[in-house]
Amino acid sequence: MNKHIPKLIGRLLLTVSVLCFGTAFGAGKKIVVASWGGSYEKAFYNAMAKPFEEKTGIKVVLTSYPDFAKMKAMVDTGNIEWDIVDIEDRMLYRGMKAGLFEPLDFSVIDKTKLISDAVHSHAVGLEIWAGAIGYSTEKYPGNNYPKNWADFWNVKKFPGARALYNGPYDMLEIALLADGVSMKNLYPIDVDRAFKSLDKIKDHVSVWWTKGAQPAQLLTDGEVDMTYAYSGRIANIIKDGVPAGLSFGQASVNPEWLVITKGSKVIKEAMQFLAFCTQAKPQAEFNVAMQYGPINIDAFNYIDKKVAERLPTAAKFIDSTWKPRAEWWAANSKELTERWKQWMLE
Amino acid sequence: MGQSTSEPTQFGWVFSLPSMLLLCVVFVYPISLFLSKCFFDPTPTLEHLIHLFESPVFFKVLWITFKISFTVTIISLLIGYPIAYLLSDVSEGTKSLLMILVLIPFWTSLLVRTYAWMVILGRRGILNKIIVGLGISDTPLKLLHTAFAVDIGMVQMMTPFMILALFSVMKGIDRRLLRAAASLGANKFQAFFRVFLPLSLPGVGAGTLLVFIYSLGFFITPALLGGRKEVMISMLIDEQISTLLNWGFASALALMLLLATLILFFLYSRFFRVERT
Repeated sequence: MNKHIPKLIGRLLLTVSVLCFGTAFGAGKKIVVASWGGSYEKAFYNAMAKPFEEKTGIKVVLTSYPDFAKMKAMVDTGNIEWDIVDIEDRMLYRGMKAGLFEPLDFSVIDKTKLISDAVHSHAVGLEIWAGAIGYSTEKYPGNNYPKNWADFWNVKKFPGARALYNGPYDMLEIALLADGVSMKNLYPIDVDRAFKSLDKIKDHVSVWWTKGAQPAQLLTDGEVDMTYAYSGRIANIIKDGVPAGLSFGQASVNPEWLVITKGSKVIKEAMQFLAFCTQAKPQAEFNVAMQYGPINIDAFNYIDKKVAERLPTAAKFIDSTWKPRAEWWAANSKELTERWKQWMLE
Repeated sequence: MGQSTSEPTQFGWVFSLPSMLLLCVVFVYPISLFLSKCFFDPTPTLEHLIHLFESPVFFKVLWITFKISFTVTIISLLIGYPIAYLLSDVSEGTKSLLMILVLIPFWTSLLVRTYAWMVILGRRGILNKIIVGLGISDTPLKLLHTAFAVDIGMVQMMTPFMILALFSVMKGIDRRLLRAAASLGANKFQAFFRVFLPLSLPGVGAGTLLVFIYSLGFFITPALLGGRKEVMISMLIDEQISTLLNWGFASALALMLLLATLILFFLYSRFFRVERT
């Protein structure tokens, strides 16, 4: 019996040391990322999660969908299931107010090559999408398609069924653009003028969509002929052969953010992962797959020129697009959501 | 239960303890916790309730919710009653076949059925292809994203509930009573309206209540099939919870829906004597 004890201690020490070093090198750690499922999640896995796993040994588990209510419940109860969450621009401001995010460490994340619009004290951009006009090329062939929001509002020149987003975000701005306000003078929004302009198009809008995947479906099914849409979704159905087009005239450009949930147990690893996601190569790979705009300017070194000029952050679109002012919305969204609801019921 | 005559039934409630406990833990506790947010989010306040009564949207949406639920209940009853009658009046073999037809949609996911209606009612959908093909109309009709689409979609979801509630009462009605009525000179209609219909009323009461209350909480179907005016209260609650993160106001909305439902249930049970069913 006695002679077994040294052996046993030896084994124990070995196990303990393996465990210690293992954790020190990150093996066995895992990060859970809440993302948007489907082709988006697949592209994210291939461009970011998989290469990161291979490089560091830290496992990245993807789950869908980012649900803000769930995230708030996680922070409230301290039971953090998602370490990193993929969120929209206006959620960033709401989440900041509710204290849902960890501050980021920019000594780990290199922000020198990132575009300034996609860097925030508590979040870093994943991609930039455009709120643009998706249209049917069967209905509007060749060059005869709606090129800006005034065209979208012009039901005589462009007859057909329309769809808009069921909420005030971007809708008030495009209503002003349709009414002749310039992209530089949108804020602060003249709300009464915007609703007056929306009154003109209201009865020509046959669908008010609520989920980002709907516009692509509406165009595919022929349910509408033109719609306000998130660019990547439409780019994807064009790739699949649906007779649709994408018009970036007066489109809004919005960063999509990655944040670390407050109270995550793997903050250090999550920070490393964010640093990886913002590097040029993964940025190029993900954004080409999804047809979104990269947030690292060096990413364009890895992207074919012909592909690059179709992405929403391409140089040629800079003068024809505008950036929604999230701070303005953070201050006014509660009141305007209600006014929007009321207007919809009228 | 209080009028028990034998020893064991006095302790009958003991057997229901586990399920009561489970209900308390997974239902009563979380719901009270959430509803209390109406008064305590973030600090003790009446702000959410005051805001709710000041907002013109809430009462409009509550009215729409009741209107849609009422329409759906009535149509389900009109469709469900003859089917339930048939089910309770045919041979065993035919009955199981009919029952399968009632239950298959019941087992199919609500979301799948809602999307199926989108395929049928869409601008290039099956129904519009038939309408244009037959020359009834030159251009496709707007069927999807209307009140009509919401009604038809919800009626399809709800009719099986109605049928099952009606059937459970109708199968217990003694058919010899109808023959007795006939022997006393009643014709078929008189026998039905004066004997069968009154006896089936408890089923009507239970079925309409079930369908109405279930309909009040509908969310996905009106969101996908409805237009801009088909907004139901659950859609407002969802928006407050998941996009606006305003849980206090969401809780106030939920509380109002619960109260409205309870008041209605109370009035209804006085009228229909639900406890008998």
